[in-house]
Formats: sequence, structure tokens, C-alpha cells
Amino acid sequence: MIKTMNLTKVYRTDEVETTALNNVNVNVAEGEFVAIMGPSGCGKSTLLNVLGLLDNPTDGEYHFNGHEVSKFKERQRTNLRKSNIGFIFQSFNLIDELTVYENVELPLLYIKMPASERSKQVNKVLDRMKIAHRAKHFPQQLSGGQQQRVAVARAVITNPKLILADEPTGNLDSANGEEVMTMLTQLNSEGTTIIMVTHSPTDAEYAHRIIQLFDGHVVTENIKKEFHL
Amino acid sequence: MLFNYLKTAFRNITRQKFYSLLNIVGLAISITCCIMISLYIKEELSYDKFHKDGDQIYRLCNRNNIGGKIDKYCNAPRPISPKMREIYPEIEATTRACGINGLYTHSANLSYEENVFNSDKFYAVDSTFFDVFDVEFIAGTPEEALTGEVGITIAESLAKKLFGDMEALGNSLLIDDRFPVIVKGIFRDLPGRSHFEYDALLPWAAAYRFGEENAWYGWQVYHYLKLVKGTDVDALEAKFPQFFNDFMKERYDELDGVAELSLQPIKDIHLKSDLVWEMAPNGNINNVYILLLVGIFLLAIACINYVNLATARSLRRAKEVGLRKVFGSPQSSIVWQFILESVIIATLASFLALVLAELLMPVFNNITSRNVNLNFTSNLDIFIGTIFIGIIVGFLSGMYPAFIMSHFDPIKAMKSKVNGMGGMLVRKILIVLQFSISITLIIVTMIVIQQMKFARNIDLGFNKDNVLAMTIRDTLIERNLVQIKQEFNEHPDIVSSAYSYNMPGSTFNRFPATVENNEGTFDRISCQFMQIDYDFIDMMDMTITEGRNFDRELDENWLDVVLVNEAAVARFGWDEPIGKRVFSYTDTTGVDHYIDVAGVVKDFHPNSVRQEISPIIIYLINDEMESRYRENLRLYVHFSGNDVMETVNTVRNIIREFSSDDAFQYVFLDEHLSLMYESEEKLIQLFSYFTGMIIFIACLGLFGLASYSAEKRKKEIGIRKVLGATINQIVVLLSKEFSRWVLLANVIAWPAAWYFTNKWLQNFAYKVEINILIFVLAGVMALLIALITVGLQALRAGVRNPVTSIRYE
Repeated sequence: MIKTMNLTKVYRTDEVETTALNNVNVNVAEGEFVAIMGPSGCGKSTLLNVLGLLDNPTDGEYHFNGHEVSKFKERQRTNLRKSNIGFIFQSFNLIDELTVYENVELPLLYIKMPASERSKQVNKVLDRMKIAHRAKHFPQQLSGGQQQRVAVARAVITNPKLILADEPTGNLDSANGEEVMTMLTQLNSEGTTIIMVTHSPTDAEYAHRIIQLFDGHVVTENIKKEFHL
Repeated sequence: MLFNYLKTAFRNITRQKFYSLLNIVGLAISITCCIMISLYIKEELSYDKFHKDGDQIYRLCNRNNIGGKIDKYCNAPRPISPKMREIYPEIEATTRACGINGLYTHSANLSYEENVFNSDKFYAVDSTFFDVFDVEFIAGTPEEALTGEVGITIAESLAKKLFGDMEALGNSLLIDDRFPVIVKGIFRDLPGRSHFEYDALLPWAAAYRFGEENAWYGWQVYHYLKLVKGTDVDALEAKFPQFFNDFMKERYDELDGVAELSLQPIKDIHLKSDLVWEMAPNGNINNVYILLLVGIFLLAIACINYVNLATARSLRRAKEVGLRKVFGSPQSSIVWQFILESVIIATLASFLALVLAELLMPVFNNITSRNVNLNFTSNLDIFIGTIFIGIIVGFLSGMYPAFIMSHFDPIKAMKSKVNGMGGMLVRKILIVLQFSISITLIIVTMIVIQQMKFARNIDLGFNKDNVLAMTIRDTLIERNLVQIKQEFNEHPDIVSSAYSYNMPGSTFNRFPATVENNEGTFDRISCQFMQIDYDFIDMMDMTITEGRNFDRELDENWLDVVLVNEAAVARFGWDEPIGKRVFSYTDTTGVDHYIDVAGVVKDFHPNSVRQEISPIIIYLINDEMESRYRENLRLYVHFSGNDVMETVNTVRNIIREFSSDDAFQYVFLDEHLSLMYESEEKLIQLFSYFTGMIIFIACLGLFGLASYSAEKRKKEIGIRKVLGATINQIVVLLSKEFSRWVLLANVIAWPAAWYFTNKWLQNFAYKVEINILIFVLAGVMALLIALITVGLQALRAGVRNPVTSIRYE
């Protein structure tokens, strides 16, 4: 599903040039659950952003579902992203002005789904995430765990083939963290590909494979579990 | 999707109460001002729009050049329009109009039994009047109404006042208590505003009948011409020089003068005409433009506020923008979302503005002396326009912030790492622009106020205080003037009394005078004329600089001697004015008579300071002069001012001894003179209010920005305080950057203000010097206002406990 070749990302400011990703070659098959680990500043988030089509690489190729997308214009990236990729963030990133229901509904608005269908979908996923009773609440009124469940709900609402999670348990206590990891595993078992950046070895245990990054390079690829197509 | 945007927008508006309020209030105030300006302009533009065939109606103007002195009159000698009607087939109908008590005096008392009303819209007109001006008759017919000599045609409202529910048609009225007339027609009140408003009309023949056939110079009246549809006006005007040669030249040659006749569309008169003898003070198209500009400024400043606040606060929305992008929103949707939001805010502001405008209407009417009503049916255009303006303003001011925000990098935006510098330069430029406008307006307002104060307090060359002036329209009083004056003078609170034909502050007659020069030959020079009695100069505290005043003992005959003013001495080039001769008349035997100059009066301002002081020749009105020359005399009483009401009563009682109470109409001279500047005063008042509003709105914006800046720098302020900065230092820190912009604004404002005021002051012959101190003062004022606005916010940030600020991040 994902194949990168010599992916390189360089950040330039007036005086400093920082290579965040240096000739990274990563392959992720459909249905896989991959964890990306490494020390702070090693390029984990940059890789996730490039894989999530939020950012273009400076150099190298990126094949998504067989299409070379590294040179895509913003509009093309947006179109590809909104129907294929879901995001989960460490700091939840819910819109404060929207209710739980509306936050979850948001991605559906951008794929222009009819209202009746939307409401069905949102309610279904809220139920599934056990957060339906909070549908009318605003994010500030929820606990961290609840907020992250909303974020997961939002990430899966479009049935994306790929979910990118950036330290999804980073701001949660262990009980809530475990709950989120269980949800991700569940999703993965239903066929969703998951790429997760994490600092936590415990969370990484849930993955099929761990990619270790260091200073923008892939150092090791560690297969934790057998993964069968 | 739209619903989602609306929801976000409304929640943002309600959550961010402070900033929403700043925006909505700022916009609402400026839109309110714009509504009022629109109403004012709408009314100004409405003049003379109601006439049927108004496009075909013109007024005849007459530009006289007599001995090099040019005067542009809005009226012309009497025989012109009837003659033109005879010879030009392009002219469908004509009518003349002249004030009932003389050209400029269109006021008289009308009485029916006990009911007495003064009409100051009373004119004598040709029987063809209604062929030119189409009015609706409710009694009588337009064909009959103005025929004969004893009929009067009046407006419905006047008929109601005089006759109540009685049948007015055929009833008899008294004009000025002496001339009986019969009501021959009643017409509906004019349906709109006009430069020529009338409520009582008398047939021409009843008022003016003597010797007009060949009066091709002087005694000018208003002429209105209705042209045949489709007439080429330029082609018609091109025939007028020939008309002048054929009929008027002979008379003008005697005066060494020429006249150029021209036509003025009736619809243009109110706003574009400022000629000698206008029927009433007209509006001024420049005032319309100025107010329009002020309106645009107001809107621009409110838009700038919105743009500034929205871009500054875009940080707060960054996360939302980032997320929307991550979840698939294209850039264009973000742009539309934020534009929609500002359109909502601006539309809310428009509705609020309509409410405010309705509430403030009495204030506005008071300032502008109008009676504008903001009712829905007659001002549907204003209502729709207001909402439309709201949408446009919202759109315009939403565009820039929307554009900035839609370009946020979603990754950075979500982490709130976009720097708030987005549009920093633009914001600075906008603040500078706002304050440039404010400072310009402060300077202009101050100089205009200074000039008007100068105009009001200028040494007029005569005493205007504690002088009561009465217009005399009563034969009994005219006959007993000597006695009345004596009775006045016996009263302890009355200092002196006098009479004259001319009242300072009103238009003076101007004719060419034939005066002796130093070589003993005669020149013809255009002069103003005054006629006064023996006591006028003393009563008015005017100064004789050379020679002597009129004297009862020496000047028995009213054509013995004249006085002149200093301007006349200068204009005539006299080395030795006393004894110089002014041509008087040629008697029936062909002998020329001359009058000697007896004295020179120190220059005084008979008119507004807009006009330079003209040469004035002052004639005597002798106590024994024939009473028929005495119509429209002004009787003056100079009183001590101890008890004004008591003095007025005394004067009233003395007048009453000789006539009925109704003849007692008076004005205070100082009030009458201030009328000369009424339109300017009104404009200043309006202007000051709007300037105040503009400054207030600009400050709202600055306040918002400052509070935002203080909030953004919370942590910095905290650290500085921990490191030992005092509150004062924090205030200075925050105020410094805003002060710089305000100071920079002066650089733009000063030349602009100089240009505008200099241009405006050119309207005045006597004017204040533009003082650089005013510019400095305006700059300092703006800076102070800005500092107070910013300082308040800075102080709040400064006194905050640094621990909470640091922990905040």
C-alpha cells in the first residue's frame, strides 16, 4: 500500500538546513499495523506528515496505492487524503467550537455525504466508541480519554484504508491509553492499515512491526508478530 | 456544509464576546453614521425632483459685468422672459416670480378675521405660472386662479390655518392688514422639497405693474422657462447674445456694462447654484461630497478594525483551520468559511445600525434642522442598502483574513506554531491609515471651528450685541417713526434707536455709481448702497474716520450729502475724499445733480466674511421722506441689556400704541448675523460628531489590538517582571510600538489636512492663518487617545501576577 524510495525531507531556514528525513525507504502492506519509534527529533512526525500527505518530501518517491504522489499539488493531496486517510493526534486536536457529534461529522462534510447518511454514520461510530451519550458536549467538557475516543471516531468515520496515529496515548493515563490501543487493534483486525508513532514500548507491542528511526534514517525494522495478508 | 460554517461562526461570535462586541459595535456605529449620511444626502438630492416635466424647466441667470465688477444673479430684469416667450418657439411657457414685498422679501402677514399667519413663501407670479409648475388644485382652477388683480391662490395647509374647516374659496383675506384679496384657488402642498417653495401666490399685475416694459436693467425678478420637449438647450442659449444686443444693449451701454444670460436646470439649483439673490440658502454639492467621503472613511475604518482584529486573532483559529485541512477541506472552503463569518458579523451590525439610527434620528434632525423620518415604506432603499452594505463590508473585510488563514500550513497550524506575524505589515499599514484619517479629520475640524469662531468674533466695525431689529410693514408706524423713536429714547433701558433700509447680514443692492475721480472727471464703479437715518452710525457704534456724520442741522435734504466707506475711498482712488461728488440724477430740465461726500466710515462687514468688503455709498433717509419710500424699513433699538425681556416688552408696548400687536416682528441682530454662517455651523456640528465617531471606532480597533498584543506577550511580560521590570516599564514596552504608528500617521495626515483646509479657507475673503500648532495639537491628541487606549490594556497586563503568566504557557 505504501512504498517510499529514498524519501528525503529537508527544512531550511535562513541560516540552518535540517535534514529531517534522509533516504528513508519504507514499505507498508495493506492491513499492516506498524509502529514508528525513535528519540525526539529523529523525524518520526515528519515521516508521518509526509505519509499522511500533509507535507511533500523534498526528494525521493512516495507511492500510495500504486500512485506516485510525492509531486502532488495541494488540491490533489487533499482529495486523496480525505477519502483514504484518518488521523489521530497526541493532543486530540478537536475543534473547540464544535460538539462531539459535529467534530466526528466534519470529515463527512468534506466528502459531501448526504445529511441522513451522515447522521447514521456518526451515530454508529459514536456508539461503537462508547461516546454516544456525550454527542452534544463540547470537547472542553470531556476527559482526555473521552476526547481521544472522539478523535478516533473522527479518524475512522470515513472508513479510511489508512490511519495515522501520532502518539495517540501520549496525553492519556495508562487505563485510557490501553483502551485506545485496543480500539486501534480492533480496527486493524477489521482490515485498516495503521501507522503509529510512539515513544511507548508498551504501545509498540501492539504493532506487527516496529520501524526505528534515528537522525532521519531507518535503523532497524523489527518484526514483532507474523502478519499475513 | 453551510450549516456547519454558520454554526462555527455563531459559536465563535458568542464565545469571543469581547472581540465580537468590538467588531459589531464598531461596524454598527459606522453603518449608523452612514445611514444618517445617506438620509441627509437623499434629502439633498430630492430637491425639485417632483415637478412634472422637471427636465424641461430652467431658471434664467444673468451674469452682469458693470464697469469690470462681475455679479452672477439668479434673476434678471423683468421684461426678459415674456419677450423670450414671444420670439423663441422653443419656449413652451414662462413665468416670473418676485417676493411679495420686494424681490427678496417673500414674507407678509395674511389675516382672516382673528386669524393671522405670516407666510414667508409668498410670491407674485405671472398668470402662466401653472403652465410651468404643475400643481394639483383642490379648489378653483389653474386657468382662473391667477387672472385679475385681486385674487390670491394659497396652499391647502395655509388655507386650513386661516379658515379652519370653512370654505376658503371665494373668501376674502387681508395682506399685511391693508390689501384685501379674494381666495381664487387652493392647491395641494408641494409634495417634495424645492429651492422655490411657495404657499401663497398673487397675480403679477396685483403686485407689480408700473413701467416694466422697458426696464431692461435693474429690478430683477426670477424667471422660469419651460422648454418644448427635446429642445437643444445649448442652441437656445447661443441665441441669447443676440437677444442682449436686440433688447438690453442700449440700456447696458449707458452703464458701460454687459449681461450674459444663461439657463440653469431647475433640478441642479439646490445643490449647484450659489448666485446673488438666491431665494433661500441652497445646499452645496461639496457638502454632499464631503459627507460621502466621511461615510466612506467611517466604513473603511470599521473594515480596517475587522481586518486587524481578525488577522491578529487568526492564531486562535489556527488549530481549527489546520484540522479542517487535514480532514480534507480545500483552501477555497476555508476562505468561504471566514468570509461568511465576517458577513454574518457585518449583517448583525447592519441590523443593530438600523435600530441605532432609528433611536438617534431626533438628534440627527436636531443637528441638521431637518425632519427626516426613517420609516420603512419611504426608505425601503435605505433599509435594503444598509443590509447590502453590511454584506459588502463583511465580504471585503473578511477577504484578507480568510486569505491569510487559508494559507496556514496545517501541521504548524494544529500545533499553533503559525506565527501571528501573518499580515503584520498589512496590519501596521492599516493602523497608520486609520490614524491618518483620524488626525486629518481632527485638524480639519479644528481649523474649520477656528475659522467660524473668527468669522463670528471678527470686529465687524459695528456693534451687533443688544440690538433688536424690526421689519416695519405698517403704514401707521412708518408715519410715526419720529415719535416712536422719541418714545424709545425716553426709556432708561434703551440706549438709542435708528432705522435703515438695509440690515447687516442681508443682501445689499449693488448698482454702478458715477463718482468723481482725482482729476475731476467721472468713473462708473460698481458699489453697494445703504440708506440710513441720522442716528444709525452712532447707534451702531460705527466710526467716522474722516469728515462728519449725517447731521440734522446741516443735512436737511436727503440728497444733500452721502457717506462712503474706506473700501470705496480705496476703490475710487481718492486722495481727498471729503467734497468729492457722486452723481445723483438728471432733472426734467436736463440738469445733472451731484451729492457731496461728507464723511468716511471705517470699514465694516455688512455681509459674511466670505465676501470682501465692497465700496459702499451711504445715503440719508430723511425723517420727512415720503412714506412710500419707507416700505420695508428696519427699525433698530440698541438696549442696555439689563433686562432683555423687559426691554422687548417695552418696545412691543410702544409699537402697540401706534399699531396692532401683529406688526411686531423682531430679531436680535447678533442672531440674524449668525444665520449667515448657519449652513457652515450645521456642517461643523455634523462633522465634529462624525470625526468623534471615527476616532472612537479607530480606538476600538486599537484597543482590541492592544489587548490581543498584551495577551500574546503574557509570558514575555511575566518573565520581564520576574527579572525586575516595573509596571511602568511594561506599559511603556507595550505602548511604544503603537505610538510609533500613530506618530507615523501624522506624516500622512498633515499634508492632507493642510490641502483640504487651505482649499476650504479659499471660500473666505477674511480668514485665519493656518497655524502649525494645530497640527501638532492634533497629533498629540491622537497620540494621547491612542496611549490611553493601549495603556489601559498594558496596565492590565503589567499588574498581573507574573507567576500565572509564566505558568500559562
